[in-house]
Amino acid sequence: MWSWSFTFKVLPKLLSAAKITFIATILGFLLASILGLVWTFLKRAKIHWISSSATAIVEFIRRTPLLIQLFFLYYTLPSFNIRLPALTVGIIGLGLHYSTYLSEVYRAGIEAVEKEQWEAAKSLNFTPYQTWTLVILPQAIPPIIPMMGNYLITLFKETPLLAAISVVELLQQAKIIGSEYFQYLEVFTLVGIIFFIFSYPSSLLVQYLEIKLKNPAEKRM
Amino acid sequence: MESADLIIKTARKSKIQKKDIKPEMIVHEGTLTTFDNPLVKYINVKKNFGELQVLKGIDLEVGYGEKLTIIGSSGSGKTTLIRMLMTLEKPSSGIMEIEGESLWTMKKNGKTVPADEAHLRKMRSKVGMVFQQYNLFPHMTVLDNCTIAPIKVKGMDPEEAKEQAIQMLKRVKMSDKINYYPNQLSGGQKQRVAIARAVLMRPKILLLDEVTSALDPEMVGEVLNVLNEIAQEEKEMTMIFVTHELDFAREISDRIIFINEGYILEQGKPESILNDPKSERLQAFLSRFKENRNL
Repeated sequence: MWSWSFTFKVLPKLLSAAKITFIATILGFLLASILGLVWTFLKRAKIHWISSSATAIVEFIRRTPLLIQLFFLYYTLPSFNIRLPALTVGIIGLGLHYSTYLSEVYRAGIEAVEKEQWEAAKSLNFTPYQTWTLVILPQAIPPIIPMMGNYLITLFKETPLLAAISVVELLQQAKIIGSEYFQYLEVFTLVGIIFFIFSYPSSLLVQYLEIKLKNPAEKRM
Repeated sequence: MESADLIIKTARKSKIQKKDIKPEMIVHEGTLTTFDNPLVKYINVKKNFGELQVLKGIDLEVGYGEKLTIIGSSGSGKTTLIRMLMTLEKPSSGIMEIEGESLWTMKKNGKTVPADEAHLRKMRSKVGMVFQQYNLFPHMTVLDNCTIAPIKVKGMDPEEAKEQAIQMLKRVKMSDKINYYPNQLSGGQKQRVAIARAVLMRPKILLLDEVTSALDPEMVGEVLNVLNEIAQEEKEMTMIFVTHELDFAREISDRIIFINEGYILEQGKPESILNDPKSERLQAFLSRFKENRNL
């Protein structure tokens, strides 16, 4: 049954594959954060065709499975002569998919800022850019950090999908090791544990932030 | 569907407008209502919110350095009148001018076109506003609230902006709280900071929209005292107050205008208009205030 010697033998290999998982998570989330904000602005655009096509694209990406999007990117990009490493394609796929969720989060944050703040900015003659960067976003972002954190954890847990496009992340590595030795129990258990070790404390951190950010007065005292 | 709706709505609106007859404006003796060189000018300005016509034809001139108070019952359109000058609302029709230049239109290649953002920003730089709900930036300290716009909008040197802000905060008696955040201040304190923030931009016209209406009664005095001092000291700055504080209005105003049902019904110097109101509407309005005070 369970072999400890085998466990310690394969652990370093799994941990080095975990690096790929982390790279995909962090870069994917970074891309999602930036792109999400871009969607939010495009959806708010005053020119109708821009806002409506942004809404359509976002809805389409959000309402279709990530796995299909990954396959689509991985197998069709080369036919447009775009040849990218599998990991890069994976990061783009994750970033694109999660950007649509984050765009909703940003929207909620922005709409929660009182309309009087826009008026105050206008009365002080801020440019639209200054209004966004000095007044609106600094108030819109802190309350949504916990929500963004939750999406970060969800994205992290979805990285095994990248195995489907041949990225050797944790799951793919486990599969390779397992089929090499015909021993699956230890490797898949370890994969589960590694995911848990990172996602559980992160979720506690998110909960802590939620409580802390709910009461800005205390934070500032 | 939509266009049919619009036609019906427009038809209804014009019916309402036809029924309304512009009342004769009562001007008390010795009141200056026109100027050779007015700072602000409204010409037949109207404002609808959907079907509701809030302002039905406002003609008004405001002079340089004038302290003007607008009174009237709630819903009479007095706040809308000044919000349009801050470009927070757009008039439905009519002309508004600041220093002889149209606020909502501009000349482009000899043609008159709707104002673009650049034109509005240029015009807005002449106007400042203090709001009923203070509208301080909650994520900035008192000092930052006061320095951010001078630094970022006017390009002032940060040290200079800080020095001016501290001086100004002394005048509103808030200099001991410069590192506090708005949520650590009382309503009266917030409003005094908001006044400092607006004055520091040195607008030609400062609009004050019911600045004591949201305050607890014990804090009204401290804000009015500060405003009184600023009104005395800032002789150059034109100030337009919308307020229900009639004693305060009497003390600081050069002129008071009474708005009723979307029109300016009566205007005059404070003593004259408050002691000797001519129109029935103003008499009723003022007696309601006296009753409330006696309660």
